[in-house]
Amino acid sequence: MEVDPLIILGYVLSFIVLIIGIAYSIYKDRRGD
Amino acid sequence: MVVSISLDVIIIAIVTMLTAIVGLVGYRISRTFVGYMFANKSLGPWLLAFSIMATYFSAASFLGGGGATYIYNLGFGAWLTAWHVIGVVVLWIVVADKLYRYVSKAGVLSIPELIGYLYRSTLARLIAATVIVALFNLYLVSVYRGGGIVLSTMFEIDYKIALLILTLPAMVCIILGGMKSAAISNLFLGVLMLIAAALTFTYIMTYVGGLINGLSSFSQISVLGISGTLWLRFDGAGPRLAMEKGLVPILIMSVTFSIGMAQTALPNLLIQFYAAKNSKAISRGRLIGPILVSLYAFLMFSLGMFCHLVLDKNLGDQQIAELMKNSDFVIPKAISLLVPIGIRGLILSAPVAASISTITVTILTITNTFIRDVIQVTISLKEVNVIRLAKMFSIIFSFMPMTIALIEDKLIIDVVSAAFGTIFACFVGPVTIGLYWRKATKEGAIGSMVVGALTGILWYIYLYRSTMIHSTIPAALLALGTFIILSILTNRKNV
Repeated sequence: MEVDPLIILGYVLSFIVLIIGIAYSIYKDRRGD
Repeated sequence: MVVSISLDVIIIAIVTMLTAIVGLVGYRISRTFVGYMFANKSLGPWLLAFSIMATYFSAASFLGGGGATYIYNLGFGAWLTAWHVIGVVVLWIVVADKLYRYVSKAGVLSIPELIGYLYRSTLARLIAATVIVALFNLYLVSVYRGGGIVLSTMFEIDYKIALLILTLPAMVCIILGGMKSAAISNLFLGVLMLIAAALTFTYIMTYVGGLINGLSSFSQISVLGISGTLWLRFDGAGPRLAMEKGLVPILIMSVTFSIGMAQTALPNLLIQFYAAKNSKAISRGRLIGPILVSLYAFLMFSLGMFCHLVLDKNLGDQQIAELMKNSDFVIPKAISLLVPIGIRGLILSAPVAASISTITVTILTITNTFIRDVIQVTISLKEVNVIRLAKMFSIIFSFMPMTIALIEDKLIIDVVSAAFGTIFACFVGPVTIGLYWRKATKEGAIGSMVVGALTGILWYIYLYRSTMIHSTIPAALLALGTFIILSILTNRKNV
């Protein structure tokens, strides 16, 4: 089984953006922004 | 036909009735314009986040989004998920807070009024109002149509009755309680959609023996003579015409971008930030909102291809070929095979829930724009009459798209299909970027909305099928180009 790297990139990008989004939201929330 | 079991029908009937009953919750506060349209600015983070998610995801997210990779390779699911995650993070982190601050400062009560305030232009406000009323009515036609076709097919009822089943609970809910009721029912419907997505994912993944096992099976199967390995290649499986032209990757990227990124500029989502209780609701919602949308996207958008392993051995070539043209029934068919009665009704109520939750807030958005930016601009009315008018027009705007959904005309279907992405193209410059870019001008905003609307509709009708590039991409690019160039030119002149 070989999955195209461009397909894997889509899922990996989703995870990275979501984690950055959550981390940024927590950071802003703690700063009281 | 997918389901004819009465228990399932009863569960769906309960879901629709509960939506109408929830309308009573907001009844008391719907006696002022701000109460009716913005829930007296009382929405906390959970209501806000769930309501925005449920408004954004219509039945198409469950049926079209869920079934798409039955036709397309897994890349469609991967990038549809990616653009949704990027879109929702941009919406909550970049747009929400800035928009809330502007709205609070200026005291504006509609998206066109915000545009009028940002660009000091009544003409820009009127054009924005026209675009919202016209295109959202057309967009609602597609929501009614999708929900109506599915309901009528699944339960073997008349299409017109199916449309009424969608319209009446949504209408009762908003007539009674406006935005407050819509948001509370959206919380309930949004939870239902997430539960349905989790159950669907679990049943299908359990059947195929888990993700890795399911993917491995594709190296050993073929679908109508097409090798299963093409579902694992980004330039592999897709609609036949796109495969013949070698345009599957372009089609996938343009369609998934158009659907996922539209969140950043849709007035029916943005207007809900106006109803936030305070800035704390926005900052907490910033954490909840992206998680909800991402969870739904991860659970639903890649399931279609695994349904080949569930369905195909029970179907003839003819039936598989039909599903390969229209994959909306892939998920309902898989559910009807795998899921026991009762739970099946709960899952199949998700597309109904998704349709109703989109319809309620979108009707409120159209009504709000019409009252605030057309009626109140021309006539001075007492508050009590404004509320009466708002409720009357909510009824009119509930039935108008339903009536158009009964017309079978290719041109109408095309225009309706183009509306969603076109709304995004019209507002991404004037609203989303305009919140940050001080040099933007009214000429740029007006030009952007006009160019976005014309390009979005005309490209879809005349060029989408030959180029395989979704109309949203050229419409957004041209609208943004117009916004930036005209703003730079006219800003210099003004200085």
